[in-house]
Amino acid sequence: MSTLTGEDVLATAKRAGWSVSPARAEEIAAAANSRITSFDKLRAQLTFDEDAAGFMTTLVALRQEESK
Amino acid sequence: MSDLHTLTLTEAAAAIRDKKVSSVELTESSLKRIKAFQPKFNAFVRIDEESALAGARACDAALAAGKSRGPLHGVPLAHKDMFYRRGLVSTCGSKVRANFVADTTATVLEKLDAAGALQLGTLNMTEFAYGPTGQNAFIGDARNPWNPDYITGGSSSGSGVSVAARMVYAALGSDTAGSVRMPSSICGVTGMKTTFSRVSRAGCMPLSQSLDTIGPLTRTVADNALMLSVIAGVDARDASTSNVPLSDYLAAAKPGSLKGLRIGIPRGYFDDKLEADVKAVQDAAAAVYRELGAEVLEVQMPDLDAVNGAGFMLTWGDVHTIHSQWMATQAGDYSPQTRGRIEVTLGATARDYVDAQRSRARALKEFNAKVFSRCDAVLAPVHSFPVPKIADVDVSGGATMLRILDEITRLMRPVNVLGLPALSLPSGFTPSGLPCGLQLIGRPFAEALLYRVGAAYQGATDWHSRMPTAAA
Repeated sequence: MSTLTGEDVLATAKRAGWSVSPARAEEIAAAANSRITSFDKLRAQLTFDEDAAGFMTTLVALRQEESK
Repeated sequence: MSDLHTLTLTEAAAAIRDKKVSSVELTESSLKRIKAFQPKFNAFVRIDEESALAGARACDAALAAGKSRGPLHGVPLAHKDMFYRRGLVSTCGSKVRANFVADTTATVLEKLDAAGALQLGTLNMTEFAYGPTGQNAFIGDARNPWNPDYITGGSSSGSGVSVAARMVYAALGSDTAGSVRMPSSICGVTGMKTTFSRVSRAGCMPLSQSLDTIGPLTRTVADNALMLSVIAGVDARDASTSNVPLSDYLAAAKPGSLKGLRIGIPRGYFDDKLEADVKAVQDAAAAVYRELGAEVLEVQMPDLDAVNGAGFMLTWGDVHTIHSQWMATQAGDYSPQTRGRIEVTLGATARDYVDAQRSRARALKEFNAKVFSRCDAVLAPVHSFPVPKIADVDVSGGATMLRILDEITRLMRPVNVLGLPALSLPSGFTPSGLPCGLQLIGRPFAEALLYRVGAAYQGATDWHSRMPTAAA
C-alpha cells in the first residue's frame, strides 16, 4: 500500500467539508500510517473470496460449547 | 436493615423480594449517597429523584399485592448517558447533543424495566464514548473514588465510579475498545465486555457499529451474571443480534473448583511493555487459579498488532461516517480532545475499512486455532501500566499524554475486533493505591464460562469487596 500523505488527508477533509490545517493534516497522516502499516500485515493475507459477512458466521461457528 | 449501600445487587434484590427492606428505603439510601458524593466524584449527568421514588413506591405496592415484576424488582440502578429513554435527554457526553430528546427507549432499558429495575439517572461518560481516560470537558471529569487525582478510565466513567462508590447497585456501559473493562479495572469493579451480537444495541448511541458492545459493571461476578441474564438475547430491533441460545449465567456464577480447566497466560503482545506492577498482579492471580485447580499454562499469541490496526480502521470508518455532518457544521461544539480524535479518522480510506471488515473472520479463526486449542480462557492484563493521573493525560499533557493514549487501549481493542467476550475482574492494587483489573478472554458466547472462572476467583479473593475509603 502507498503511504498516506498530508495532501491525501486535506483532500478527504475538503470532500467531507471539514476544516483541517495543512500542518494538522501532516500529523494525521503520520498517526494513521503507523496503524495502517500494522493492519497491512493482516490485509496481505486476504484472498479474493473473503468477505465481511464471514465474521458473524465464524463468530457463531466457533461459539463455546454448552458442555464446558 | 442498616448499611444498605454495602449490599450487592443480588443481595439487594433478595432483600426486597423477602421484604426485609423496601424499594423506597433502598432508593432513598442510594439517593442519599448520590447527593453526598456527586460534588466529589461527578458520576452523574442527571439525577431522576422523583421518577425513581415514584417507581420505588409502585414496586413496594406491587409486592404488597403479591406481584413481583422480575429478578430486579425495585432495585435502583443508573446507566451511561447514551442509553436512550423516550422523552428524556441523552447528552452522550457532548454539547452537540445537549438538547437531544430521544424518541425511543433502548431495548436494554426496556428489558431492565420489565425485570423491575429502577433508574436513578444517567451517568458521566467520555464525549460520544470516544476516549479511554474518562475525561469530559463538557460535563466535567468524573473522579476516581480511590484517588481523585487519577483518571477513572473510560468511556463508561460514571458507571465505574457510581458502582465503586456504592451509589448504585449496577450500571450499564458500552465497550468498543475497552470502555467497560478500563473503568472496571481502574475503579475496582467487575465488568463484562460481551460477545459481539449478544446484547441489543437498539436505542443506544453508536460509536462504531462494527465493534460496539453493551455490558454491565457491577460489584461481583454474580451481580454481573444477573444483569446479563436480563439484558442478553436476540432483538428484532437490532438485526445484528444473534439467536445463539442464552446460557444459564446465574448457575455459572458460583464459586467452585476449576479442576480440568486450562487458563492461558499470554506470551507475546499482552506481555510487550508490561510494567512490573501490573505483571505482579497477573502473577498473583495466576497463583490463585492454580490453587483453584486450574491448569495454568503459557500460550503464544498470534499477531495481535495487526488485529489492533484493523480495529483502528473499523473505528475510524464508522466514527468518520457518524460524525461527518456535525464535524462540517458544528465542529466547535466538540471538545478539543474529541475533535482531535475524530479528525484522525480522515486517515482511513474506504478500502482500509472494507479490508478490515473482510479480515475479521480470518483473524478470529487464527486466534481460535492458536489460542483456544490450548486453553479455555486467557488471563491477560487490561492495561500494561499503572493508572495514570489526570494531569498526565490532559489535553495539554504533551508527549506523556500521547504515549498513554496510544498504549491505554492496546490490550483491549483486538478483543473487540475478534468479537470475543472478556470479563474484567478486580485483581489487586498497584503501589499508587489504585485498583488493577485483569481480563479473562473466552471463546465467542462463552460468558457463562468466564462467570464460572471469575466467580471461583472472587470466592478465593476479596479484591472485589474492597470499598474506596473516600466513599466510606
